[in-house]
Amino acid sequence: MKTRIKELRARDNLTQVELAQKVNVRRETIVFLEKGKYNPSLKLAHDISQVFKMNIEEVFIMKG
Amino acid sequence: MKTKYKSLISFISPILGLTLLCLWVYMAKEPFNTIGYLIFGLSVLMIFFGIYFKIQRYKNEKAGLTSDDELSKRIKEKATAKAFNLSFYMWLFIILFIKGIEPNVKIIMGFGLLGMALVFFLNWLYYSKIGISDEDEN
Repeated sequence: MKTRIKELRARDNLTQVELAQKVNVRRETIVFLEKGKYNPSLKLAHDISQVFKMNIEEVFIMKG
Repeated sequence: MKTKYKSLISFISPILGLTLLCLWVYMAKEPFNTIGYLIFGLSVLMIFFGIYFKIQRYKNEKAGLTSDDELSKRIKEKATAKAFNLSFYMWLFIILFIKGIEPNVKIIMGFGLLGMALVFFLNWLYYSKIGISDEDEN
């Protein structure tokens, strides 16, 4: 799974810590998500998408 | 604020471990043998990691971040499951291949192994019945 978190963070001028605070996770979790090394739960994917005011499938893109 | 105090209090366990280790070294009457050095080295390593993780936790809480989230919980669960699986083989190896263990001790170890299997089965039964709702735990 590919994510657009890094790109959207840059668009909204958000740091990893600020995004982590908004969705109540650790900064490390955001790092793993951005690197595509962790598939989030539906709730976390939803919360992150809400921060960027987008749909889940626009933030998290399934490969293939 | 309360969580900050909680994370500060959590430093007590590695500090206590370090104190006990120092006491052990101080009170040792004879110089360490190989096993003594091994136990000492492993204990220092565990305490070092303990302190490192507590510092990370404190830093997170100071920055207003949670110290336990879904990824850390999943990692913990996976590590626990792996440790449980591997410990079966470790105990079996000890019982079968390490010589000089008394038969009574082998029986106790065997009971320990069976106990682990029973604990696993009961947990499996419990979670199979009620399911895992990790979404609500944050």
